[in-house]
Amino acid sequence: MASTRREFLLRSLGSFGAVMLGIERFGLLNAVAQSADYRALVCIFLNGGNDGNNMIIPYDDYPSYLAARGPSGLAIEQSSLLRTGVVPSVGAEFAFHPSLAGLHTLWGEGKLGVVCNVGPLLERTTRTSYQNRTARIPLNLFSHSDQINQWQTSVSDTASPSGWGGRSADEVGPLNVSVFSPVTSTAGTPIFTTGNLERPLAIAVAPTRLDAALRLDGFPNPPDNDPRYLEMKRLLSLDGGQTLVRGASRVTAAAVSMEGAIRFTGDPPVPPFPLNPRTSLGNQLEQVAKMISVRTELGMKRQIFFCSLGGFDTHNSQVIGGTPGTGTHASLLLQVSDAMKAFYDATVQLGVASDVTTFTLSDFSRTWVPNGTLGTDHAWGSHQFVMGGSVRGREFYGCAGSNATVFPTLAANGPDDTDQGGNARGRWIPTVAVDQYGATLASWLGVSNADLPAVFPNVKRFDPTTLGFLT
Amino acid sequence: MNSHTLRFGLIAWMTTCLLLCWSAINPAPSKAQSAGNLVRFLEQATFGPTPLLIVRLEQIGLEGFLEEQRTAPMTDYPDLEFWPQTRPASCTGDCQRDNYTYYQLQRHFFSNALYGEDQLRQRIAFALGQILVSSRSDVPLPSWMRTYQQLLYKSAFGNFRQLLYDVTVNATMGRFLDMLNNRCQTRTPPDVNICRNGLNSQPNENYAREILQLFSIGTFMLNQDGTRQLDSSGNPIPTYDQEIVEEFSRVFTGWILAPALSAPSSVGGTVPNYRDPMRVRLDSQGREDYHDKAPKKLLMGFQLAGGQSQTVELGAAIDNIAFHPNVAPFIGKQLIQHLVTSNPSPAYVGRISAVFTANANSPTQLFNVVRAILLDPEARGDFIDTATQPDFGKLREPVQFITNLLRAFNATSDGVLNSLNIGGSAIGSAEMSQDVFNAPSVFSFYPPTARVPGENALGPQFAVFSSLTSLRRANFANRIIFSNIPAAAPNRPTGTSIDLSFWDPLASNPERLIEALNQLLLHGAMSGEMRESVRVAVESVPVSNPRLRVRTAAYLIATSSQYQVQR
Repeated sequence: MASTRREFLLRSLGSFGAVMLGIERFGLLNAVAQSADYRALVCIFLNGGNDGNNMIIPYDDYPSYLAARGPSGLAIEQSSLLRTGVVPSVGAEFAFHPSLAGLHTLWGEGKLGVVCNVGPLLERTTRTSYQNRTARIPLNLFSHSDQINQWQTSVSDTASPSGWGGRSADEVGPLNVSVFSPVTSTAGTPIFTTGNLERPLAIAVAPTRLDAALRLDGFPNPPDNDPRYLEMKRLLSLDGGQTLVRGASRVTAAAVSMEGAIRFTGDPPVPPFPLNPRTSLGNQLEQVAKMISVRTELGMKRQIFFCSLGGFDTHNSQVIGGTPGTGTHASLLLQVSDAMKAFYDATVQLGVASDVTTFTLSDFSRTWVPNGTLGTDHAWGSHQFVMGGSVRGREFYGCAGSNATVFPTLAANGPDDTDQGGNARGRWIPTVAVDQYGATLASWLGVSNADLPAVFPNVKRFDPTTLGFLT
Repeated sequence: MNSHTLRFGLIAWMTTCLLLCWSAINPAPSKAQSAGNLVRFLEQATFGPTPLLIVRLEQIGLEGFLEEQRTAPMTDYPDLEFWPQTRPASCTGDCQRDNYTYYQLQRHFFSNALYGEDQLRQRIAFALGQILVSSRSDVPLPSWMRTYQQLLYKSAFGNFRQLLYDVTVNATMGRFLDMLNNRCQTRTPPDVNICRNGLNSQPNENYAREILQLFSIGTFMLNQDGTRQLDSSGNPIPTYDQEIVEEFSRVFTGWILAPALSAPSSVGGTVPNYRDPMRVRLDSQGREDYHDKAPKKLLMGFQLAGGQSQTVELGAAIDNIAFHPNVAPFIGKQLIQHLVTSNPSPAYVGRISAVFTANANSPTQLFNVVRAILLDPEARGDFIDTATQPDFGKLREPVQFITNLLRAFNATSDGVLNSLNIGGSAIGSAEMSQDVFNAPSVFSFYPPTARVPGENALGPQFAVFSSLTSLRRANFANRIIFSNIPAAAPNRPTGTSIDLSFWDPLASNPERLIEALNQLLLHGAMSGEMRESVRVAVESVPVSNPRLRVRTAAYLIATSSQYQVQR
């Protein structure tokens, strides 16, 4: 063990002191010995509502896609599509957007799956029960903020104070042998990352060094005997009964404490990162890979990471007129694909490809029928990618809908559309609830069946509670 | 700028001395307006109390200050030329920086906040800009954003209905939320009485949804005190549904940019007009061929008959939204949250709603609302009683944290504070998750519904307060208190620094030093145990190093949660 790492371990013990309950329970050496047991979830949130309808495109049934999206200029040319081969669960061939070459490679290698038509639900909902209003439906459908919260909390009928990433961490966090936060975000602290007990750690992204991903300037190293440092920490314990002061101190005190640990991690390389050129999502996933590479030193056996990429709210100029394979959405998907592929390759090199599962979320999908400004508007159910060595890849997952397959019927005013009549836009009613999608991931991470309802309060309303996309 | 800052510095030096002497001599003011109340007022109404302003407020009182602010000349953003959307290859260096980045806008935002006389107008404009959001994310040129920010400055004390109309036809907003070039849908079979020259695509729903959800009424019916109305089953009542959004999306059709402007002479040709409001699109025979002429069903059962002119329809639709009963509590509560407290009592919201509604047709409606917010009994007083109002106050957003700290110490600054990376430490406002004029989306930097971590209380700004950004705040304080933001040619002409020399004489008496800082930074609200903690650190520094004593005290207060939270 390198001396800096050893120093780091000892230092973690010292700086966390008595609160380092995990260390007390297992002992430091156990922490190292048991390090082979590791699992992590990596959430990639596509902010703004990713157009799933141009991400996964019917290949056999291309004419109906062309008929719906061609006149508005949004139909991607069939010859440029990345074909899936016949998808076993559907019995038809589909294709990926041409930007998704990296993910298409992983699909071919069986490391990538697609979960179809997922969205927030309160109960299984059909077109009939939606339109005659007998189904209870999520609050404020088609609103960004509401649907984002519903995706991240799995709760769609009220404002939840916590998210399912944080609540999963509440369940599996005690497996960790240190109190280093099990939830780490490279994109702020959205509700997904907040548990009832666990609070997320937000860190800086690459190219900031991992050991500077949290930094507190202006003190000697180590700072522990500096009177100003000691009083700064003491002040964080004085709230005088003021709620907002207490909340701010809770965040800052954790930051100061975790900063004391992270500054000893070094900055391990995680090839094939860095990407050239660097991208927002690439920089985030690079830092996640670095965090994973020091999992043993941090005493982590279960971790949840959160990354996000914005710009998917493509009401306008989703494609460039005349060349629908280019434009905003194509650029975003390229960034997603390249960063996810590199991240998968990094986990292979770190020897944790089967211990890390990466998945996408997004506000909603977008209308099947475009608007008149080369864009699309807000819809509902969408398709999501799941990636990793434990994914049963090269397959579509979900629940059989009106057409007896997991893939929705792509038809405005059709059996899966919320809209009726000649102006119907094609907003798919989800067949898979966020609860089922999340429960599959959380179960794999280690949340027991008995504890699933603590993480997903409404999951028992859906059958099956988990889908089979992970081994 | 140099002579201005010099003069400012001199005045500030004298007034700070005045303040210190005054607070030392007169620790328990007997006047009607106590020091705590005055400093608190400036925390709420400006970008931060300055010694000079505290003295001024003491002289003229709160009402006098508000009246002075109402008529204070408006600070402008720099007059930026309109350039082509694609940068000419000849435009590099300063040309590129000034016309194709937000450098000048963001710099002037901070300069105005630090030094502008029209503090209240600016503060309201900044709050409004976080409710009626436009963002660089789809507004690439700074000249385009300037038009929008000037509109907010101009409208900050005006009428809300007028503001909503002006925002709606503003070309920058038109671009940001896609009302620009939005057109009707050609029916099958075509019906020229409804849509003369549309597409076989639906109108864009973006502006229709967000003007309702974010700019005016929100998603649920509200009582005038801001609480939700409930139906007989105890469920909240939606204000609109998807169908209403689609109806409004048809109202908002037919608007295009005003005639192109001349490009800068060095470029030649014309450039898109983001200076003037959008105009009605007409075909060669003067017909509104992009506008949907069908009847439309709007809020509260109101119907547009169809066939009316595009402008008449828009005016009626804006009336329909702006005079909806939700607007007063929806907008009023958010203004309270931006200025005073994240958790106003329903009674407070109700009082402000009443002022909002009574002034619905007043040309100074927003000024009157803001005045009521600031003079409300719930906002005033020396201290907030923690026992009865534990949830009072608001976390300072990054901009407010930066400007309050700098103004308190009469900083000299070039205003380059939005994005800063000094010695590998990222300490600008953008790095604290508030990239001015570049919010991640129309949902701004943080939602009004965000909660304080681990608490039930609302704390919108906590959505951008994380382990990462809390330490960056501390690092900003460290940089500015222990050294400075150095000048760096060409984009940081002077840098930012504060002068602590006149505090040095207090250093030999830690209690006096701490009390003076307490008055200035915490309006005198520092607790006994906090005072004791700061004193321990100050006294650990030899008396022979007075500056380090001052810095130690200032750092501990500036990084404390008591300072992060404006109470």
